[in-house]
Amino acid sequence: MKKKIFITGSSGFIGFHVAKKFLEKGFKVHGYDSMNKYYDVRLKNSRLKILKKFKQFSFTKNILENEKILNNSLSKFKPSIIIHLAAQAGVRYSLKNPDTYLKANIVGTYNVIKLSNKFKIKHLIIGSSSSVYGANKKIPFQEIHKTDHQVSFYAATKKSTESIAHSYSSLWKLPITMLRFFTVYGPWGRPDMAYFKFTKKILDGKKIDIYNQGKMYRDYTYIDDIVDGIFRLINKPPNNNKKTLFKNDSLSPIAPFRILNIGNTKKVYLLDFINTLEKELNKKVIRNYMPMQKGDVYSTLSDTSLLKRITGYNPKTNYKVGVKKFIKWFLEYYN
Amino acid sequence: MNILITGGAGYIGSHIAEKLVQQKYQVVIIDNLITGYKRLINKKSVFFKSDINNKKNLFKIIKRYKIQTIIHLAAYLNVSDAEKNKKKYYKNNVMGTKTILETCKNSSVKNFIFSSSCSVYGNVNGAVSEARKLKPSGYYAQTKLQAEKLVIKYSKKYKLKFGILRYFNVAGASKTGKCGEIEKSHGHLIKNLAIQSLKKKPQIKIYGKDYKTKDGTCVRDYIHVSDLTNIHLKSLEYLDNKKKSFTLNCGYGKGYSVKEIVNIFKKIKKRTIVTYSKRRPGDVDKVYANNNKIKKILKWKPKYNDIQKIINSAIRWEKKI
Repeated sequence: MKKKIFITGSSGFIGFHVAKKFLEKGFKVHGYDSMNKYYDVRLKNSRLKILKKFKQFSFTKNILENEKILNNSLSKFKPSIIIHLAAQAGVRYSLKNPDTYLKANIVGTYNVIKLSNKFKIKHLIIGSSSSVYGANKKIPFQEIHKTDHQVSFYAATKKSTESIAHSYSSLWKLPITMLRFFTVYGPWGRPDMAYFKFTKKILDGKKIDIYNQGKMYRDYTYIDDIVDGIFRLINKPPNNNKKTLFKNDSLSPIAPFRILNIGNTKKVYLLDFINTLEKELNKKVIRNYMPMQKGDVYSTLSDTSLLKRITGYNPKTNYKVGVKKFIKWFLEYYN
Repeated sequence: MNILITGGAGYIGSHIAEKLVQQKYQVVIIDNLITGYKRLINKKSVFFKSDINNKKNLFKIIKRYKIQTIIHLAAYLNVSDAEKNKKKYYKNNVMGTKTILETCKNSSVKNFIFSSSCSVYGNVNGAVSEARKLKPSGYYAQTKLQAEKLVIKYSKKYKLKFGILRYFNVAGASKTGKCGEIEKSHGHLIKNLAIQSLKKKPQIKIYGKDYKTKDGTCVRDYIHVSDLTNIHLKSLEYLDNKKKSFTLNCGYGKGYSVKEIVNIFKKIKKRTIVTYSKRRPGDVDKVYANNNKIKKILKWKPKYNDIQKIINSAIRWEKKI
């Protein structure tokens, strides 16, 4: 009997791909998404349309803050796994509109955790972010590093959810894995992210703003690798009855709670990424070099040894290959 | 157009960066900050602290910023120091130039502008034109000549257009007051005068009074840095439009002796004490430019050729630092 998976943020970028993977593998999937206007709703609807083609897919359109509806969806569906990806995302947007982050990320995640406990979920996977590493200088980032210096409110809400999650996990023995995603990109991506915006602007012949004069590194991680990692993870909930088996394990000493990085483990220079976009699109773009943006970090790079040891996760996609695939999708979708 | 300036945090480099940024070019600067200064780095440029012998860095920068023109100024330029530290000067001035040229292979770079020196002519009597046989005297001058030859050789090899600019004696500072000469070790006359101008008892040493010139002191062609900056701008435009390589003298064509310059300075600072000392190894008697070619080819017209203005601007800058 295949498990039932409840996915919040199922019309979002990562949520959509994860839901699709489980549906293709024959799982029953319930999606929960507010379909809000943070970015192009038509894109969200296109993703939802694809998921609705699967017989085993059911859907609730509502916000996380609506505890009653969330409760009812869970009560009806009775999942054993919850993958909580719904959030207000975007480092830069959080500088101008911090309130939405408080509600969606902290209140929303709190509701999911509380209800996961009520319904005795076997494994709760929560989407966190590489941005919690904030001003950390030591790379590659490891889960056991201190993460006390977030530099954006978005990152702070993500870090807060990690604390809230640990407290519940410790009190009620609720198995929770926090997944810190590193700059995910690919077909059906988020239009508010830089690589997506750049692609649009390059095609439109507009100029692009490049922060910190391009002197930035990101661990760009292709969506298929992310989905594969999550798929492998659902059957490996943190268990702290046994002694910690893994080297540099972020498993809590007192709770079935673990933090895991999920990334490509490769440093990609922003300008190399942009040069690749230009090359694949066969178009040159006018570059506007700007100083560093507030809330942004200079470099991110994941150490995913822990995820690898636990699940055999092995990211394969080089950014040049990923960019090609993204552009192919972009040109088809926006024809 | 994307331009890389090596030595862009230096005296002349910072002036060129200032001008190019003003003309809305995309400017990237490499400087190892040994005789370059953080203060002189143009705020609108992209800066990398790097040595020109670091091929890996150069390659990455050229690729990432899609550099189309390189203005190569980075060098060690103390004439006396060169005699005592030949290896150092060879490594930086000759090998450094070679490294930069090599990274242009199969790259986006199309044009290469190189800072050379009138010292490649050696000792001359009267105005010297570009057609003159080159007889560099002193090791510094030799490194410059060797570098010129590399520029020509590699430009041919990699199909680049080059502009070799033979500077005469550069002095003065930009009207904007944002850049000027900070480094004190080059032994530049007008810089030394400016430094002394801030003292209560200015002292100036003249090196050699037995040169074969009208008053026994060296004769040089002093060009205002802002005029030199304009020459670079015009060179860039010329290479891009006409796509023809060139070698040009950058000077006014007027020779002033050291004694004459010091006398002009004494009018501002009457208490100046002048002493004479031995010749500096590597210095020549007399050199000034025949600048017909640059006026013809680049249609360059000097705007700041007033020795008084040059000295005053240098003093004004010195007060700022």
